[in-house]
Amino acid sequence: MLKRVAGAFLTGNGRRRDWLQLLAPSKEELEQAANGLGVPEPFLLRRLEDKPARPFVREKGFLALQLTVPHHHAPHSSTFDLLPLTILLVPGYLVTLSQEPVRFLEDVLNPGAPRKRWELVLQIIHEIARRYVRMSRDVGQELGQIEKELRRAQRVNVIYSALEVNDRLLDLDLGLLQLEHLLEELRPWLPKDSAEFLEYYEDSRIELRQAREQVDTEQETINSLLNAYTYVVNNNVNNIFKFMAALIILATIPLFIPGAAAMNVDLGPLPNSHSAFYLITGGLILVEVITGLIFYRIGWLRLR
Amino acid sequence: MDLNPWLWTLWRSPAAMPATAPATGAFVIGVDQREGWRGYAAALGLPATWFASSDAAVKPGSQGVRLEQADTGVWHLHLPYVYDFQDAERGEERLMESVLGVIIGPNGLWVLSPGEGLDNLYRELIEMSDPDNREQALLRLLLVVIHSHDLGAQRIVARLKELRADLRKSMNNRELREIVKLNRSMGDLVVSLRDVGHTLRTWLWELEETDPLLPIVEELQAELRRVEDGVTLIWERYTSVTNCYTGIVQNNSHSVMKIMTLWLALLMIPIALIMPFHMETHLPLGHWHFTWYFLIAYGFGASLLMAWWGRRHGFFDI
Repeated sequence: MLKRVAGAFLTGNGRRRDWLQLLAPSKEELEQAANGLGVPEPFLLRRLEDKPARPFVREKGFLALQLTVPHHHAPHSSTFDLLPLTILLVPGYLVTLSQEPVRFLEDVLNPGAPRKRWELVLQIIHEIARRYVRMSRDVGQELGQIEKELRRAQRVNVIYSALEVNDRLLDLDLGLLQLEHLLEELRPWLPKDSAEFLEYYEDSRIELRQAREQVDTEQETINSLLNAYTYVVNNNVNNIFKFMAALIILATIPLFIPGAAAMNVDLGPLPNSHSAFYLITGGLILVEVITGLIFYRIGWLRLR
Repeated sequence: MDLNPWLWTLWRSPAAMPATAPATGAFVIGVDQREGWRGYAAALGLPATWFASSDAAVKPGSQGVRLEQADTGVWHLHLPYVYDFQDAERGEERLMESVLGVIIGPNGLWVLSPGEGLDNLYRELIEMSDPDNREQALLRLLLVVIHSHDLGAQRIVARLKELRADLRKSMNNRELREIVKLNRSMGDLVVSLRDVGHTLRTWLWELEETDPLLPIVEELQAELRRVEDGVTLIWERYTSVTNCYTGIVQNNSHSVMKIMTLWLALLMIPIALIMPFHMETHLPLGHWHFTWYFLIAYGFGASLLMAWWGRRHGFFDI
């Protein structure tokens, strides 16, 4: 889709300029945009592919910024996609290029309240950083749920859930890292005449730094906890082992006490005694109860 | 019609080059590992002085001196490059690391690449916007070198995720061994990127302030730092969870052992309960017609009861 929104932003001189939205463009649309804007078509194509690309490119006639926008799979879900978004600054236009719609762009690039170009870029970065922080908080909360399951877990599914959380945090960390580098590279290009604007830039940089530190901390925590999680799961299984082994020991006692009275040898008065069965079985039950109590006291018969 | 000489010309080997090779433009030449720099001057149709190491036994595709400048001002670089290699013999795709020999003359840019990585390198070089001059062509080349590490890291991560999924059922060390190898390869990528960084920084110090190559090398520093930070982060995060994989394999074995122990206990219960009725004494119900059936039902009933309780507590989970 190739959409043009008239007067969506302002140049440094306060002149209104258009926003050109390239959303999952067809080959013809891409060719048309490349010819009209003077940007090489292979360059635009590569930006749509999932290949490494520089976050900030300065070429003759245009500036290109590459961003990664996190997008929730569903509301209140902690799973997300990372959507590549390219912003091209060409004379007369601000072009956005993406395969999937980035919802907040329509709010930011509003012809009703147009912002200046660089202020707009910072606003977009700011908005993306806010999303990263929100996502990292949601992902972090998932850890609480995993820890609840961990108490009873005997299988590694819970570890796999934790590993997925770890992967998602890494994706967020890499996205934030890209934003941080982009902001750093943008610095020489930003207007230096407005103290207010520079303050806004510094604020964005500090917020981004804080967001990264937050994600880093979350990730370092889960990284160091993952080994402990595995041990907890293994321990739960080992507790069952311990319980079973105690049970087997208890089940083995009757093999030798009544077994002693079951030998095919001369057993003396035992075969003729009417109370021998009750005496031996009574003794057996007593031994079982005492052993069972000892096992319980030392924790061998406890599951947790 | 004048063709743009900076559009990267490919020769698969020095032998494939025309008798009189053009001296201006960007060129990629495939080489094998046997020949050293020696003799390439003649093959490329360039002055022998272009090759600072022409007398040394430094082979293209091997890590020799990282950066050097000949008396003529021609720069020689060795840069690590990572690429996918289709191993026809084993029928698999492998990640390979090689070294590109780069010669930067006043009017020409020559890249000597091992034969296996040649197609990959050439495809990456021509994919982007067309270079108009030596500096743009060099920028593209160095970006390909830097991004090849990023692509390599992505490939390793994808394989690690596959292996991690396979670990769910694994009870041996096959997957773990490959994971350890991949973690090592990831570490090698980080080292390799730092190597590129070291080369570029040294180059930056040695370039004159007026040298047209200076802005290119400066521009690349930021991208190199970004990719290096990213790959290092991925490497750190993935190596730190390796112990957890060991735990997963252990848990798989434990789960099987748990089931075996459970069956052992369930079989022991009827034996233990029936055992007193083996004694050579007067037995209660000894002459009752249904005693045998009763004892069997009693022994196995108790065992089934235990199994039912165990199932509720997840003893049978595997």
